[in-house]
Amino acid sequence: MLVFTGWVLSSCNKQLNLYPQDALSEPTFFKNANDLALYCNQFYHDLPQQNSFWSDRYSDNEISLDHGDGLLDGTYVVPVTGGGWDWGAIRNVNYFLQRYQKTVADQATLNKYAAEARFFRAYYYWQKVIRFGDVPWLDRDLSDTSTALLYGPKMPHKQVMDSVLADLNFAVNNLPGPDVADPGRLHKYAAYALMSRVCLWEGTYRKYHAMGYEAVYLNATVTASEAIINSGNYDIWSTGNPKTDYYNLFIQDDLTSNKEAILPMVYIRNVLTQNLTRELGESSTGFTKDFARSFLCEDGLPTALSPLYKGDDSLDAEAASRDPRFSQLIATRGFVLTNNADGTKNIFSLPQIGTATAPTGYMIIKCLSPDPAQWNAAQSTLDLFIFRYAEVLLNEAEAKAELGQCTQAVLDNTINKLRDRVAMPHMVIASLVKDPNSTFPGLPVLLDEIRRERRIELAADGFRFNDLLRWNAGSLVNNPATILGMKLIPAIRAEYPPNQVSGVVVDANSYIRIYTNVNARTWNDKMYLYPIPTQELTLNPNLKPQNPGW
Amino acid sequence: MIRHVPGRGGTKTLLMMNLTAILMLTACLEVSAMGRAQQITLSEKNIPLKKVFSEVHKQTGYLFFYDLKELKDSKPVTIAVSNAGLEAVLDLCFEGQPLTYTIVNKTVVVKKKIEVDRVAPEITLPPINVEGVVTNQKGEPLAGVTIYIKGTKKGATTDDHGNFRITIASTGSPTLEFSFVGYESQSVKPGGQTFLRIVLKDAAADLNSIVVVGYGTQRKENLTGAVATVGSKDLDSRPLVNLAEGLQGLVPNLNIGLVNGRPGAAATFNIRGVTSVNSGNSNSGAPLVMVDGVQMDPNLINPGDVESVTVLKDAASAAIYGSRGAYGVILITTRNGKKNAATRLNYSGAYTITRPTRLPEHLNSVDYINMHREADRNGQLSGGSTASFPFTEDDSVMAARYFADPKNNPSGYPDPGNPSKYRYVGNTDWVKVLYPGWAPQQQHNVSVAGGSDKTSFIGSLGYFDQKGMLKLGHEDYQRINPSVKVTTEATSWLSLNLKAALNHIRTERSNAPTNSNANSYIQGDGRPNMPVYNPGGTDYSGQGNWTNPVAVLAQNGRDIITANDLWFTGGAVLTPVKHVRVNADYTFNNYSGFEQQVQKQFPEYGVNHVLLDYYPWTYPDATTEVGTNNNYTALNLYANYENTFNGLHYFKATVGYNQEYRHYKTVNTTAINLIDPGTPFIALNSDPKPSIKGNDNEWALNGLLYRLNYIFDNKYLLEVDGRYDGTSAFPNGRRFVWSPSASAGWRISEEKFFLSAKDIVNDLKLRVSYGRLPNQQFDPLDPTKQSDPYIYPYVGLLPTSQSGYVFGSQQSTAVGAPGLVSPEFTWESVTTKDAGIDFSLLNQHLSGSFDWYTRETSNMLVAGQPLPGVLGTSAPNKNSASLRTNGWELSLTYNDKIGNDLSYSLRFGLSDYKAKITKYDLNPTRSLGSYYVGQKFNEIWGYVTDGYFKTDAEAAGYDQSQLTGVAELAGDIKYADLDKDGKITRGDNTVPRPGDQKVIGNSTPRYQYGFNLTVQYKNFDLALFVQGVGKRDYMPTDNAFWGFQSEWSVPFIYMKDHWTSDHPNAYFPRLRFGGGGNFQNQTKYLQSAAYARLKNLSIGYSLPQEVLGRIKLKSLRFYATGQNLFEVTKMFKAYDPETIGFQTYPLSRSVSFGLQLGL
Repeated sequence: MLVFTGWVLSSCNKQLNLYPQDALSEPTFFKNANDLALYCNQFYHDLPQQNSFWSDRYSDNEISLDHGDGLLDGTYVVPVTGGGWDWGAIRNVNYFLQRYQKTVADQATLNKYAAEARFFRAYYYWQKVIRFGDVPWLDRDLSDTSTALLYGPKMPHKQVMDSVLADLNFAVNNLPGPDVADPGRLHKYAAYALMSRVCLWEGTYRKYHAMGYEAVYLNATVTASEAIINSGNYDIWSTGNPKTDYYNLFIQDDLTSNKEAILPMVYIRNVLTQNLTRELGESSTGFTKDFARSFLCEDGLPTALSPLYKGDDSLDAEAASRDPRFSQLIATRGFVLTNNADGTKNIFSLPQIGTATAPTGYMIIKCLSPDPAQWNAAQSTLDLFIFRYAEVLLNEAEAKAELGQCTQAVLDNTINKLRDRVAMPHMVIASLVKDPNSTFPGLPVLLDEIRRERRIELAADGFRFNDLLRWNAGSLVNNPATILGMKLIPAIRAEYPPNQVSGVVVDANSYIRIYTNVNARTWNDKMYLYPIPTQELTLNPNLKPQNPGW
Repeated sequence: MIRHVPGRGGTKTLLMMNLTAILMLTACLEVSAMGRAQQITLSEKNIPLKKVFSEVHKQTGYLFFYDLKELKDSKPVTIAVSNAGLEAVLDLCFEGQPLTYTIVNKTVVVKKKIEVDRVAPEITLPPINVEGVVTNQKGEPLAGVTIYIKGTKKGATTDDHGNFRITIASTGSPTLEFSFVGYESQSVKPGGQTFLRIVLKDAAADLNSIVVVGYGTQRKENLTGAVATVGSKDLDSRPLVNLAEGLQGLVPNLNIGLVNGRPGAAATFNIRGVTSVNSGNSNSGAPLVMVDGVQMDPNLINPGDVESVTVLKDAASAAIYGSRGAYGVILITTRNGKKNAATRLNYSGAYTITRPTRLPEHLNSVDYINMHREADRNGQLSGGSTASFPFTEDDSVMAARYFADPKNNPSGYPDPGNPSKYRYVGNTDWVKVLYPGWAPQQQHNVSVAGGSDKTSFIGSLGYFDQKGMLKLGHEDYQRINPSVKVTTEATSWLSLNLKAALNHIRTERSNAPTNSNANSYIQGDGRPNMPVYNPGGTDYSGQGNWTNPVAVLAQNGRDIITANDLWFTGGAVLTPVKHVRVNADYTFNNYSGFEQQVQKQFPEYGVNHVLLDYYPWTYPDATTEVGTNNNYTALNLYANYENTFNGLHYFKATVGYNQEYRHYKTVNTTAINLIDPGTPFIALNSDPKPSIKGNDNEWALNGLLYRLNYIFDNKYLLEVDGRYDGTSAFPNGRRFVWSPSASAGWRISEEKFFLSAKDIVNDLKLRVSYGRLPNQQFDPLDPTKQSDPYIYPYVGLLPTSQSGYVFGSQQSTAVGAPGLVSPEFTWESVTTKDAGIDFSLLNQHLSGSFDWYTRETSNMLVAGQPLPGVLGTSAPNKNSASLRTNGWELSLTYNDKIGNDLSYSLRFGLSDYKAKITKYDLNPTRSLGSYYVGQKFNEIWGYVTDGYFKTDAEAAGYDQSQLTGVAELAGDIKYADLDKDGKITRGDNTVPRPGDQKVIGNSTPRYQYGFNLTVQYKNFDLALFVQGVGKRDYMPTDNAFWGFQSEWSVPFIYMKDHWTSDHPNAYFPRLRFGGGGNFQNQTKYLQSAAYARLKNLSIGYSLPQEVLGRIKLKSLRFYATGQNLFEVTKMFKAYDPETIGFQTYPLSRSVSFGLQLGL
C-alpha cells in the first residue's frame, strides 16, 4: 500500500508540473535583441502626440463646456486614490533596466534599448514632476513589498529633474541617428527634441519659481535644440502658400517624409487610426477671446498698435488683416467644413455659436480635415506630430532669450522661419514695441513676443498650461477673457435663427459668456501642483506633507 | 427480568457505549464515574429510585444510565441489605418498577421495560406465540432486526441466527412490523400462522431514502453530514429553462443567482453564503458541481434527465472531494433504466411565452429636455458639471410641437452647427420599442427506458428553444441533449456501464456593438428625443454620439455560438468477493465550441440622406471566429467494503483514487477586407494581416480519497473521510494538501428508551461534523478563469498586446512586465463545523432538519491590498486574510391526506448567514477602501441624510466641501454632522476616523426562504412556489436611480419627482449632472431589496386510468404553469429585486402550457 501510494504520488507530481504554453514567462524572456525591442514597444503609445481636441482645453487658450477635473474652477477635490499617482509605466521601465543586460547582444544594441527605456523614464518622471513637484525617485522595480524604498520619502523636484537629465543625456548619446534607426523607433534627434522641451520647461520653472540653478537647463535646451538645427535634417514645411500651408501641415496623410516632423505619430488605414477630425466637429470647446486677441495683425503689430485692426464686432472683422494663422486655426467665413460625398460642400459662414461645434465662436480647425473619410469615427488616417521642428525653434529662441543670448541671428534662424511660412513680417529686435495689452506687462519685449509666437504657433498642441506653470503665470487664467467667447452684438445675433442663440449669454460688452456663474476664474497658487491622493499619504506617511494649499 | 440484552456485549460495544455516554451528557442524562467494590450495604425506606442509584454508585463505582423522564414513573423503594451483590440489590429495586436494567461492564443501563411477555388484561383468549426467521433476499439471516406489534409498545429483536419469538394477541389480527437498517420495512399479519419466514428487501430500491454522496451512496437516516437532496418529483412538474432555475429555493442555503434573463444565461451557485474575499462581494465562491461523478457545467445539461440532486453543504460530507469541495458540492445524478422493466416511452413538452418582469419607465422627450436643461442651469449656477452638448431653446420648442402633434411636426431639424446633421426632437420610448411584448419558448423531451434481467437502458432526447425578449435582436437559444445509458451484468461479479451524452448548444443574437452593452439594450443613453427613423424617411436615426439601438440590432451582423459538449463514460463494477465492490470509470469529454461574430459596417445618414459616416463601433466589415477545443479526462478508481457484523456493527470503507486533466485550447481570428460582406465566412478575406490570437493551457488534479463509516446498533453513526490532493495550480513543493474530516450522529429515536415517544417522534437524529478543506480557489469551469493567471497563478507572465504605435507600416507586438507573484502562496483553508438535527414527526407527516454551521476561511490569498502607488503594480497575492461565516438553515416538510382524494405537501426552507472578516493583515489602518478586521461582509458605509438645504444661504453656510467642490444650493442634500466638527467629511476614511460616515446597511441577503405547496385532488394537481429574501439593503449607484450621472445619462420617469423651489418635498434632490455631493451613499436612498416572489404556480390534470386504458396510454397529464407571476417588494421600481441593476437583460415572467405522456 505504501509503495503504491508512493508511486502514485511521485507520478502525480510529474503530471502536475504544467506550465503555460501560450505565454511568455519571466525566465524565458530577454534572450535576444528582438525581445528588447518587443519590450520597449509597450512605451511608444505614451509618446506625447499632438491632440488639438483636448490637450489645451483647460488653459487660457481654450474653454470647454465641461469643466474637466475642475482644477481651474477651484472645484478639484483631493482624491482618495488615483489622481494621476500611477507608477506602472515607471515600474515597467525600471523592470527593463534591471534585466536587459542578461540578453545576449552587443553592447551598442543593449545601450540602444536602454536608451529607449531611459528616454521614456525621463518623460514619465517629468510628467510626475509637473503634476506633483517632489516625487519619490525609483531606479529599480520593487519585488519586496516591505522595502524602505517603497515607503521612502519624496525626492526634491530639482534632484528628480537632475536624474531626468541624466536619462536624457544617456538617450541622446546612445540612440542611433534617424537614418539608421528602425522605422518608427526613437532616434537621437527625437531624444534631443524631448531634451529641448523638458529642459526649457525645467530651466524656466527654476527661474520663475526662484529655485536657482536654471542655467544648466537653459544651456541644455540650447545644446539640444542646436543639435537638431545643425543636423540639417529638418526644416519648416512650406509650399509657398502662406494662407493655407499652416492649416495643411496638420491634415497630412503621411508625415514620415515631412521635414518638419522629427518624430510623427503614424496612422494607417486598417492598422491604426485616430478620431480627431470627428471629435473636433463636436468638440464643445473653442478658443477663448483672450487667445483670439493675442494674434498680431499682418503688419506684425499687436492689435492695440496696428492701424490694420478692424475691431471684433464680427468674426469677419476680427480675422481681417491678422496673422494668417488666425484663420488657419479658427474657422472663419468660407472655411470648408466637409466636402460631402455627393460633391457638395459644407461651407462655414456665421460662427456656429449655440452649438457644440463652436460654443465660443472660435472653432478649432487644427487637424480637422474636410475629407469625409477622415470624419468617419475613429477611422482618420492623418498623421500627427510627436516632435515638430517648429517647437524646437521656439524652444531655442526662448532659451537664448532667457540666457540673454538671443541675437537677431538667433531669431532669423528660429522665429522668422515660422513667420516666413505664413508671410508674417520678421521679428526684428531693434524695432520691437511693447504691446500695451500684453499679458506679461513686466516682461522684456523680446521674451514677451517670443512667448506670443509660441502661443500662436503651438496653439491647441497641449503646451499652454504647462507653459503657464513654468512661467509662474497661473494667474493669467484670472483674466475674464479666458472664459469668454467672441463678441455677439445684437446685429449679429439677429442674423441667427432666434432659438439657436436664445440660450447664448453675453456680458456687458456683448462677449459670449461660457461660464455664466462666474465673471472670472480665481487662480490659487496651490494649483501649481496637484494634491497627492489621501490614501497614499496614509499608506506612506513619508510622502507628507501634502502639496501646499491642499 | 432481562439481565443482558441478547446478542450484545464485548469490548466494542462498551467503547461505543462510552462514546454514547458523552453524547448522553448533552441529552440531560447524569453520569459519574468512580471505581469501588461490589458489596452493597443499604437500609432505606421509601426513597426515590434515583437515590438508590447514587448510593449504589458510591459503594460500587458502577455507573448508571437513565433518562430522568422515565424515572418519573418509578415507585419509591424500601430496601434493607447488607453486603449484598449488585444484581441482587438491583433486582430488589426494580421489582414492580416499569423499568428494567442491563449491566454492561461497569455500567448499569436503566431503560423502560418493553412489555414483551405481558398479556393485555382485556384479552381473554390466550395469546399466540409466533416464531420465525428473518433473512435478506439472498437468504442470509439478519441479526438485530426490530419487530414491533403495531399499535403497541411491545417488540422483540432477532438473534444472531435471525430467529425471533414474540407473543401476540389472538384477536384483532395484530400486525407485525419488521425493520432493519439498509432494508425496507415490512408489515406482516400472521393470521393464524405461528412460524413466519420474513425476507427483507434491500432498501437500495427505495430511492427516497438512498442519497448519493461522494463516491457512493448512503441511506438517508445514516447521514452524519449536512446533506440535502432534491428528487426529480420536485423538478418535473414545470418547464425549466435550466436546472438552476428549478433548484432555486428548494434547498435552504443553496443560493442560486440568476444573473440575467438573456436566453441561455448561466446561473451562479453558492452554498452557505460568503466564502472568500476573493469572490468579491458577489458571495459566489462556487461549489463543485458533479454530474454522474464528473465535473460538468450544470447550465448545459437537460433538466429533464435529472433524477436527483444532492447538496453536500458541510466540510465533512465534501471532504472526499478535497480541494474543490471547500465551498460545498452539488451532485447531480441522471436517470437510469430499470432491470426487469417493460420498455416505456415518455414524452413531455411545453410551450411558454415570456415577458420581462420589471422594466423601467422612460421619460418622454419634453420632460427629458426640460430636466436636462434644468440640470445644466444648476451646474452653471453653482460651478458644477454642465452640459457640453446642451439642449437649446429651439430643441425645447420643436420637441414640444412634435410631442403635441407628431403627425404634423418633424422629429428632427438640421443642426445649425453642422447642417448635415439633425438635432432630434422626437419622442421615443426605447424600452417599449426594444421590449414590446411576449417571446416564445418551447421544449420537448422524449425518453425510452427499459431492461431485461441483466441489462437496463435509458435513452433520452431533450430539445429546448428560447427566443429572446429583445425582439429586434432575434435572439435564439437552442439546446439539444441526446443521451444513452446502458448497464449490463456481464458476469455474476462484473457489471459494465456506458454513458454517452451530448450537450449541443446554439445561441444566436445580434453582435453586441460594445462590450458594455453585451447583456442589454436598455442603454443608459437611450435619449427619448431621438426618433427611430430620421424625419420623413426610412433612414435609421443615429449619428455621432447618438446611438440608435434599433439601427444597430437591425444592421449589424450576428453573433452565433455553437458548442458540442460530448461525454463518454465507461465503467465497471466488480464484486470479486463478498462485501467488496470495486468501481472503475473513465470519462472523456470534448468540448468544441465555435463562435462567429460578424461585424457589419452601416452608414449613418444625415439631413437629405447625406452620408455622414459609418457607425463607428461596427466598422469595418469584419468576421471574428473563435474555435474552442477543450479536452477533459477523469479517472475514478474506488473500492467499497461493506459488512455488518453480529447484526450490530455496520462497517463500510471506501478508498479511491481520482485523477483529472483538462486542456483548454482556443484560436481566435479576426479578418477585415471581406471579399463579400454578405458571405462572412472568415476565409473569404483579403486582409493582409488578420489578427490571430489563442490560448493553450492545461490543468491537472490528483487525489487519494477515503471514507470510513461505522454504525453501531443502527443508532450511533461515525464517519471519517478525507483526501490527499495535488494540483498543478501551485508550485512544486506546495501543491499537495490534506483534507481531514469527521462526523458523528446519534439516532435517538432508535434507542429503546425512546420507544414511548416513537409514535409522535418517528425519527430523531443529532449530528455533528468537523472538516478542514483546502481551497485552490479556481473554478476550472468558469470560462472567465480559463486563462494563465488563474491556471498558473504562481508563474509570472509577461503580457503581450499590440503596440498602439506604428513602426514603419505596422503595429508591433508589445511585451509588458509581469505583475508581482509571491512564490510563497499556497492553499486557502476552509474549516467548517456543523451541528444538525433531523427529525420526522406525526407518522412521518412532518419531517425536517435544522443545521447550524460556522465556516472559517483562513489564509485567503489576498490581492490588491493597498500598497504605496510607487510600486507600480498590484500587490502580490499573499495568504493573509481570514473570514468567518455563521449561518443556519431549516427545512420542514409536511405531507398529509384529507380523505381519499386530496393529498398535499408543504415544504418550507429558511436560511441565513452572516460573515465577518477576522484577519486582514494588509489594512492595518482599517481604511474603508479595503477589507478590515471586524468588518461585517457587505456592509454599506454612508452618510446620514439630513434633508435638503432649505435655502441657498443655508447651503453656503454648511461645509460639505470635502464631498464636492461645487457651490451647493437649496435642494441639494444636507448630511448630518455626526462627528460634530462643523463640516461633513470622510475623515481619514478609516474605521477609527470615518468622519461623518457610518454603517448604514448591509447588502447580504438575509433570511432567504422558499415555500412550496403541492396539492393532488383526484386527477388534478396544483403546485405553488414562493421564494424570497427577508432582509437586504441595497444602495443604488447607477443612473437608473440617480438619473443624470452625467449629461449622457437618461433618467427614468421616477426622476420627475425631484426638488425644485415649487416642489421642495420631492424624493430626489436638485437635478445635477454627476450629482455634486448628492450621490453619496446615504440613509435616505438606501433601498430594501427584500422580496417575496411567486416563482411558480402550476395546475395540472392527469387523465384517469379508465380513459387511459381506452386510448392505450400509460399516463397523460396536461398542465399550465406561470413563472415569476408577481412579487411583493419595496424595491425601487426600475429594478428587479433579484437581478438589481437595469443595464442587464431583464428576467422574465412566463406562462407555459405543457403535457406529459407515457406509453
